[in-house]
Amino acid sequence: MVLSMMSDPALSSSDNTEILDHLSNLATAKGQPFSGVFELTKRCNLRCGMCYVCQPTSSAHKKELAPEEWIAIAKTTAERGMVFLQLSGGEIFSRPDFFSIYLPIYEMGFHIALLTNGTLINAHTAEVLSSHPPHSIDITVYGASEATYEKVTGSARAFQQCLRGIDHLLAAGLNCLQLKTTLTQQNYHESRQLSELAASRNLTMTQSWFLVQHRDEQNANLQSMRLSPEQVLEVEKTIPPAESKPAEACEEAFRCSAAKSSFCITPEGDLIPCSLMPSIRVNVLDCGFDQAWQQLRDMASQVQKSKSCNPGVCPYFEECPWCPARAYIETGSYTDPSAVFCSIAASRFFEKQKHLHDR
Amino acid sequence: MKAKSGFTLRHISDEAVLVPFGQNVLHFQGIISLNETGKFIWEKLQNEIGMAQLAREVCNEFDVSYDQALQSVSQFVSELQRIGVVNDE
Repeated sequence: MVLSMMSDPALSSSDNTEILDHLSNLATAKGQPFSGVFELTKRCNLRCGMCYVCQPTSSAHKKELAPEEWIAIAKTTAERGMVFLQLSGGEIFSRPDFFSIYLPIYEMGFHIALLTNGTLINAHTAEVLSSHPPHSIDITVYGASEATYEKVTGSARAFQQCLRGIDHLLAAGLNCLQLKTTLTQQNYHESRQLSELAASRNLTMTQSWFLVQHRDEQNANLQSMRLSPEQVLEVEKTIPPAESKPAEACEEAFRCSAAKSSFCITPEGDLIPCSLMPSIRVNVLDCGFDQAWQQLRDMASQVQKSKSCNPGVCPYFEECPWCPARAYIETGSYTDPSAVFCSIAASRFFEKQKHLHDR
Repeated sequence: MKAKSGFTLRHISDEAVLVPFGQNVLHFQGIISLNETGKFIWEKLQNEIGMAQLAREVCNEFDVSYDQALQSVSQFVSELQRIGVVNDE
């Protein structure tokens, strides 16, 4: 009669996802922010070759928003009814003042997700988090051995640091951990061990293979680090993708809620549709969140809908990781297909057909 | 009975959502979507109230009989108690 419960989207059943979609659609129809990402810093203690937003921890951070600026933005979004907030980086715990931001924002009552590499989490961090528990902590694990961590992150010891961080959180009673990995040619061979590492701690593991160009500098090695479509298909048998929802038809360019009811704010205060799409941006410090949000929605609504990447045009559409943001990263256009996505979508499609036929 | 502290009420368009925070998160990591009646009951539960009185309040506000209201309110409150949102009587 009166109550419907909904789990965290990452943990939810299909029924719960329906409620989440319903609320997201309501927010979209009203132009209300429902879900936001605050990228608190670009700084990170690891040097992953494929990362799109990282700078050394020693780098100047004068442009990063100060705690009071993040808190003020959070207050506005809370007043506008925003429910979901992800705190991300860079590495969030490379900010010495992380808890000066987290604790005041926590009291505003968001559904909070933390995204971290886990390596800077010590017993004290875990203790503070357990007294102010977030709804989820996503820890990205880059390999299942020191040798692979050295190749991917530039730090062999980061492997043990990450495991210790995970174990500190578990020991503190935090039951909201989820493991993620970004797969490249450097750690692909350990995908099974990564899955086992998560299982040994009774945790879930999801993977992402899509590598994004660094926001501030061109990474010439990125393409050679990326998995082949065949490898993507193979690894999906072992570790599920972080985003597994089938692509749906949409009348607008963006099929997701980006710049409709969700957004990302960069460390410098740029409001962007999502973390993959810094090409459309309005700085929150220039005009305040409300005006920036309105401007962002207007700008994103000008993006043309793709003519080729649509149901009825492409038979593999439902299996395709394509979206305007990813298309722009791959092709420089918001509307063009990408050979990589086409290949993966077709492979997924025929794999499914094969399974259906075998049954 | 009374609603526990540590839940924020947010509005998505015209619908209400309860978000747990603090130690509540260790037991319930989801959010709770409330319809109009649910929101009404939640607001009444901000102060100590008995089941019969709560049913009467629902009866006065909405077009339902007392018996209907009592049955629905009981179900709703027991579900809230199960997930730790409302203190037991």
